[in-house]
Amino acid sequence: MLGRAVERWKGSVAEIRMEDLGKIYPDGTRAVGDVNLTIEDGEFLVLVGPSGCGKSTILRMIAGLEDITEGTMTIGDRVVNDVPAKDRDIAMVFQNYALYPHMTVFDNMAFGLKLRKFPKDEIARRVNEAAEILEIQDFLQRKPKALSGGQRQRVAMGRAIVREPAAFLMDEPLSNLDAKLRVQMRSELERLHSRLGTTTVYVTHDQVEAMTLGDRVAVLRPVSAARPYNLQQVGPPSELYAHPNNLFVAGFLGSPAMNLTYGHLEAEGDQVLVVLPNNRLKVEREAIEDHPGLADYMGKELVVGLRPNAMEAASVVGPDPQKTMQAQVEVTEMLGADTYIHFTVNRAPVVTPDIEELLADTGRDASSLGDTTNFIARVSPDIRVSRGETVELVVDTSKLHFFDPATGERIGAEQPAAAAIV
Amino acid sequence: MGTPRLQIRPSNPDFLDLPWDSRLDDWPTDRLVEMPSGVHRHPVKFVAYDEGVYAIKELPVRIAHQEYRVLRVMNGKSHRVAEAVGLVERDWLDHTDEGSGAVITRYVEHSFPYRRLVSGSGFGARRHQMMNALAGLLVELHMAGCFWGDCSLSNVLYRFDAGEIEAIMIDAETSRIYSELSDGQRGEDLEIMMENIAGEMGDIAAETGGDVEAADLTLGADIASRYHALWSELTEELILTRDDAYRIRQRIARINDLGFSVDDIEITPADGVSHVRMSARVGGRTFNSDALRQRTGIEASENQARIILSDLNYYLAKHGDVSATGKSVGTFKWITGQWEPLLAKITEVWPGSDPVQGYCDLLNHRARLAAARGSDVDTFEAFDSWVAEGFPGFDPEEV
Repeated sequence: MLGRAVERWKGSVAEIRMEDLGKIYPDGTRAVGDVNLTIEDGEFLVLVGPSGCGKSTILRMIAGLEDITEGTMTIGDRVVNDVPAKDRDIAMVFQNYALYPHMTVFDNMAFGLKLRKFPKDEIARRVNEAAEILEIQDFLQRKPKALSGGQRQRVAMGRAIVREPAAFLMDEPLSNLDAKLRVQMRSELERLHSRLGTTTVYVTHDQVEAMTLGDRVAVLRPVSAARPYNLQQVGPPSELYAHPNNLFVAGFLGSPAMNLTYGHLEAEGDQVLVVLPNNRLKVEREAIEDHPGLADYMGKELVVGLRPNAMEAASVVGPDPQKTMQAQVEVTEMLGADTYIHFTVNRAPVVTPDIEELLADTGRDASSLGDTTNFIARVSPDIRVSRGETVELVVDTSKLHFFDPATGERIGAEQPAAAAIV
Repeated sequence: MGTPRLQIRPSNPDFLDLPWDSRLDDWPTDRLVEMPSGVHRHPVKFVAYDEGVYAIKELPVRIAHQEYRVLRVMNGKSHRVAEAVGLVERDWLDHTDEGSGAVITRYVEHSFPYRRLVSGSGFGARRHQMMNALAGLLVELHMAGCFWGDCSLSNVLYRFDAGEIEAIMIDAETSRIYSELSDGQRGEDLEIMMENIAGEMGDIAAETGGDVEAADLTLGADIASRYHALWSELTEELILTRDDAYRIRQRIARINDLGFSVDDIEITPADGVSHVRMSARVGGRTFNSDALRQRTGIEASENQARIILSDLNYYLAKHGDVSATGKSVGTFKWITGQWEPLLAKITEVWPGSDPVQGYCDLLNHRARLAAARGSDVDTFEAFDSWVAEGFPGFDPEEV
């Protein structure tokens, strides 16, 4: 029966396609610009970005809650720019699904359909199938208080899935839950999606949520006069993490954030070295191959990125003088599974045109940022170092990232942010 | 353990004497007061100070910030939103990795949860009052750009407002403020309201042993219809000829009749030179309450204010001078000769009640007596009869 339910569900196709999509409010404010994005049928796509990046606006445009002022939105094979929300066959998932204590689990899942005047047998079919998918079929005649916390959350999800929409739209659906419940619900959502395979678009500001939930993640940032488009990069989480297209994506995804500083490349025999403020490191071939065109930057200043987990104490991995940084410890954070070592490099922080713009808005210039840059290394928890001590960190230089300091784009990126991304 | 960070609005206690080191559920009961309230997702307790009673809701600090921000913005735009007076952060106090926060609101005096109005498996004669109250509240919030995101019977407190019921938003955890709402956003908010209320009505039916099928599942849809009618009336554009200027006054009067004030009238050319288009920028639903406050200093809810103003106007007409000076003197006489002594008497004979509502009930009783007698009835005389009959209020079937 479960197989039949899922098959029936998968019968409705909901590819969502946005072409040159834009939103300008009546007062002239542009919220969304030049979005080209296709969400495949059955895909779980996460829209992530900081406040004001347009992610909720795009979701509302998909839902029909917000007028589209530029471009087209297609769901399945139908352009829906002028189709009212109720006729789009998609469900916005509430932030709060209350369970009603005096109604049975069946009625808690069914009353929305009763409200919409579905026939009784259709209601029974939908509730029973949803209950089976959610593995709560044995509890349908119980009251919510007889269920565990996790079962209650599944009933709450059941209220959404009995509507059998072609797509689910979720705008920070877990934001009202406490941290523990959020983690539980994340795995419930993941499990549900893997069973149903319904197209899902999920908005969050939380990059951890984005990285753990999405088949693909679309990173967005607020538009500006110089950059009238939101979409920065779309791809599987691991791809975005390993190959961020630009400094914004590099800085936004990953916790702690990628360390960034200035450096340049030098050839030494058949080796390539990256010269950083405190150190000279041999660059592994993989990093060079990962950045087509890097050879053109030999001797020129570029921005070098280094994930915290690409460093480890030499005492753990063994010494490798060609790839070792000396770090004077400022702070250590013991987190159980990892230890974070905070240190500084003797070079002013990386300043991109965006940061210059932000500084100008607040009447400051780059000199106000100081002349050192904070770095964080994530190392083994066995390392015991204290403030002021020097620790040798071996860098995995196959995972270095290189960016053009003028544009902030990854060197050799196949899809610069401004390009259409499908 | 640590020190909470408190952000408190002026004219309120500092709340520093409260046991912020422990969770709300663990606070000693002698520090708390019991007040009627609805069902909450998060712990809510009440504390009393000389300045009044306050509700404290404990919730994750991120959500507390969100709710406090929305309530503060809406407090500047509507009287029907719980007054936010404080935000508390207790970063150290949470079993999860998120800090604990609290939002402090002033308790809505003389309010009660919807369960008090339930009669059998529905609202009986009060159904239309509930519809008006919730439709009016949603229109007011939407006019102000507030997307509620979780409108339900239990996220509202209720208060008698002369012959109507006033609904006050007390839960804004899911709300967002926009410069204006799109039609789609308003529709989505109504969808959420309809589903929430259907669930609540189903739950009432189940609680009373009835079948969910027989519950008043359409109450939400009826509220939505009323909402649409009210929204259309308030936002309708008129196309006028230049000779139709009186219709502008009619339009403003109609909006005022609905309790809303008009912030601006916009008149733009339409259809060449002979016609103009007129639209009104509608303000808060405070037309009568603002007028009453301005004329008398009396604070009342909108419908109470409408009835009290009628009483005042009737008094002025009956007692003479309609000049500006005469009106001021007459108003003073009404306050000192009618309003204040009757309010004192109501408080004396019916302690704990809302005396302003009591005054409105008394006026309603006076009107009934006058209709039965076929002649005018003195308010003090009506008072004695009202007390003798056990303080009868408005009959919801008659309103």
